[in-house]
Amino acid sequence: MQQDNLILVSRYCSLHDLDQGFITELYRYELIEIITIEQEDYLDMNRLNELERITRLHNDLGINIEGIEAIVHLLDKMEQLNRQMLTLRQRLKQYE
Amino acid sequence: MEFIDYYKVLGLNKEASSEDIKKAYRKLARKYHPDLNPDDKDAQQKFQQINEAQEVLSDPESRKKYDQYGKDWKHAEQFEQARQSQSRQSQASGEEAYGDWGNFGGGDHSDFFEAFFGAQQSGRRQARFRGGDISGEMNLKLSDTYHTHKQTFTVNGKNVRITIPAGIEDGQKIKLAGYGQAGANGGPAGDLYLTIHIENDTLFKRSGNDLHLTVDIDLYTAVLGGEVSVGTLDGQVKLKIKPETQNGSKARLKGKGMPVYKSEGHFGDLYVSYNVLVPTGLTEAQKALFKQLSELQKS
Repeated sequence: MQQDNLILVSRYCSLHDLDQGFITELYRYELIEIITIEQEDYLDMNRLNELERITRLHNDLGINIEGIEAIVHLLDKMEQLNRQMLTLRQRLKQYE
Repeated sequence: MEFIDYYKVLGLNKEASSEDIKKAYRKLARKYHPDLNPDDKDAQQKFQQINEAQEVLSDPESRKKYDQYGKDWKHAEQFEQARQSQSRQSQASGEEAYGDWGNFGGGDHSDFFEAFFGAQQSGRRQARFRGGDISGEMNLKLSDTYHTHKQTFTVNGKNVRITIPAGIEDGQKIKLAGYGQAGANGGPAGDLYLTIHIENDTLFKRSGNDLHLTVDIDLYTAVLGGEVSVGTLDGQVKLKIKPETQNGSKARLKGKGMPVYKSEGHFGDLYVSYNVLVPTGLTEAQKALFKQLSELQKS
């Protein structure tokens, strides 16, 4: 993986005023991915959106990691269902 | 511009304590937070309202001003001027604003709020916050989506030129990072999510990457076979009709459907359904020949 797309976890945490322990916890719950290169932990910058969303849920709404895990799962499911609905709607149009 | 009852927005009465406000806000924020209601404009609007209500009611100064003037808010500015000339004693707010939930719509207030409080509200924010995401819509024609093309539009007064990949589907979203609301205190801007609406300006019906088309063929071609010219999005193609083709039967034209989104060189298929037209206005000679055929069939 190209290192240009990666940001050091420590740098990300200092920029966003986050506790590194929070990132580690998220990784433990498999909510984010951490890439380790030469004993340094990095985040994929293309996937920072997910981390930002999780951070907002945690900071804004005071939701703990277990709660976030459930929410992320339900949001994914919702997106899947929306996509399915879109496909079905398109198919239905053929019979209109 | 209408008066906004911030107490009503939070489901509270005027006697509500700061703890009540905090509780009501948190409860409503959990319900309407944009991260929990993706693509729900009503929820986003509601979230903006409750954010605004919290911002006013959690700050003792703002709350006092709001309570004092209420529906007569248009006179609030005069009140402010009079109050400032009376006494210039500065007093630090005894209560810290709880939670700065400005990530979404924090910098986006109603006209009422702007008129009442102006820009004074931002003074207590120090932390950097990412601007809120915004959503927009773009209308395209199905024929335009056959090829990757550039499209220009205006967002927040800026001209944005984006590439629309071929094969994009109706309802699909494109994310434009950094084109959302501006961040607060130097925070990054939010993102813009464009929902694509595709109007079908063709005779095809689309199902995923496949296209469907009904083609009329005359009875003689259906019975004896022949050739028919079919218009695809890629140009005209000649299609061989097998003898004894049945009404409603289908032919598949591989690779003549829509391009597969972000997968160059890959296309769906085109399904052609035959609609056999029974001849009308037959001459006596034709009728006689059909009768002859019918008798041959019986014997």
